[in-house]
Amino acid sequence: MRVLAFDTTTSACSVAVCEDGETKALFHDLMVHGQAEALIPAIEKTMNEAGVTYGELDRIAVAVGPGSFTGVRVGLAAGRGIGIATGHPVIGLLTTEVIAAESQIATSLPTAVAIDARRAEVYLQCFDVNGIATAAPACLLPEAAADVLGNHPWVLVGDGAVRVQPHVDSAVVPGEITVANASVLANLAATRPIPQTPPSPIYVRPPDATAPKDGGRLRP
Amino acid sequence: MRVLGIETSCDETAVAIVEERQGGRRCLAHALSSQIEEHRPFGGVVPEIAARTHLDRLDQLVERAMSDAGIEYDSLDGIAATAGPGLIGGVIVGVMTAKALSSVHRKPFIAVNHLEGHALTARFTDDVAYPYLLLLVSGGHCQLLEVKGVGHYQRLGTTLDDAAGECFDKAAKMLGLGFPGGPAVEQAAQSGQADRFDLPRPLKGRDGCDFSFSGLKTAVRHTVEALPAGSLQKQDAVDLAASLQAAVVAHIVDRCSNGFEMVENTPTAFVAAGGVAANIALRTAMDQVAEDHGVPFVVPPVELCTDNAVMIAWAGLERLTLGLTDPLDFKPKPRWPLDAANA
Repeated sequence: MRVLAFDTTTSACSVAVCEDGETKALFHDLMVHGQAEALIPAIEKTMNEAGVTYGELDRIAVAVGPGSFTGVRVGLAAGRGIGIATGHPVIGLLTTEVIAAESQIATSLPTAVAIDARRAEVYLQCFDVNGIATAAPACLLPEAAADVLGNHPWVLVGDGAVRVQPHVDSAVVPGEITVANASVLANLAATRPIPQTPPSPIYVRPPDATAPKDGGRLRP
Repeated sequence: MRVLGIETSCDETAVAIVEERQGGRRCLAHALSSQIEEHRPFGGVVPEIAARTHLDRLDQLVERAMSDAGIEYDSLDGIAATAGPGLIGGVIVGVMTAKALSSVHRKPFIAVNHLEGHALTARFTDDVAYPYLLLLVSGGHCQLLEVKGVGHYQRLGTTLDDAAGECFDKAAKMLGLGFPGGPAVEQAAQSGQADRFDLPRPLKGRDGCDFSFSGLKTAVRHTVEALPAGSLQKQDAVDLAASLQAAVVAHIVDRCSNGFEMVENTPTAFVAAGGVAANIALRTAMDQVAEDHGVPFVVPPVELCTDNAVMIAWAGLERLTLGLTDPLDFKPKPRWPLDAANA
């Protein structure tokens, strides 16, 4: 099975073409901004290196968040666009799940993924030794995230780990993975059932919007 | 020549396909989804809600437009999208979708300036020849431009503060008339007495054709606060709406009249575009301004004055005809003046 996978939800632009578990080509650049410019040229470059055309793919995989709102939309708009343009199924995976899966290739330990949510918060999600999420991702202050982790021997990964690490019990050990790798995303997506609907974004945090008092009327 | 266009810069998600064959031009499909209901509780467009809604809807609208047109991607000559100016979260959704379509089907990508879309609509609808004088008046913009050609604009004046539509939105909110404010003020004004409240005429007697609307918004606030205590009475609200509309129209007439004195070349027409150009009182007044200056007044139908994708597809087609395409690493722009001098 040939999969084109990409992630722009955190501080990277990662694109891979994988075939039956083997990475044919990988583009992986750390970047805080600029994914809207970088992504499509990176996809074309990676496909060229892999010697694969869009028509020869079997499915598209895209990380759906949580992460930067803009990054989530850059990846999903491209993924859903490629989906309608090619007719290939598009599989969405949580960014946290992809990061945890890569970490667990090396450690097989319970893994906590903390993604930088800005505004001094992180998106936290924990995975057991089988890679199964223990709960949905949550948006938390680092101290609250540390409370969730308690004194359990988690491996703490993700680009928000540095915010949480100073607050955790000594049982929680730092891991090495900070961002999602598109090769891991591709191989996870290859095993998933094909969804009936295109993937939806996972923002976790609601939009910043407050309805004005009395609808903004001066004399209600 | 056949181009698909995408519009996502504010609160309308839209996809259109237009074509030009041997001088004839037509719209093959226009799929549009308004977000008015999503933003109504907030009395204005919330950028993050807009961006999320564009992503939720855009791919289905592309499929619907393609299906309505009854064509395949292979028959397109280019893919255009609004790449700015506008609410950047939504703009990015449209640009990324367009780039994806462009990459898969190896069609040229055209990054369209949303304002150029409005500016060139009258060429799609009425085949207006260059140069022409353009009043671009909407919820986000208020400018007077001399349109000399695709990509060639001379900005004669712009708003110094709020846009006209923004003024209507804010006043409608204060008066409890509803959202969006432009149509709400216009409807209320129909049963109001326009000469009851003496609102200011901004920049009256001043040279140039810049606009200013924030003083009017403040005047509405002060007028409401000066009314007898208690809830705002309906008649007060509609009279104030009528007075405000009259003041806005008089201000725009004054500025446009000055604009005619500032153009480098005699215009072939006076064109209005943008959502506020749907206002009947403004259209009537602009028609008179055009007549006073001996040129025809051209205003596209209402559905092509408000934000839409037909204008983006058309601007894309005009640019593609001239060989103006963009690379797939094009950076979406939240700010993007039409005239190079202000870029």
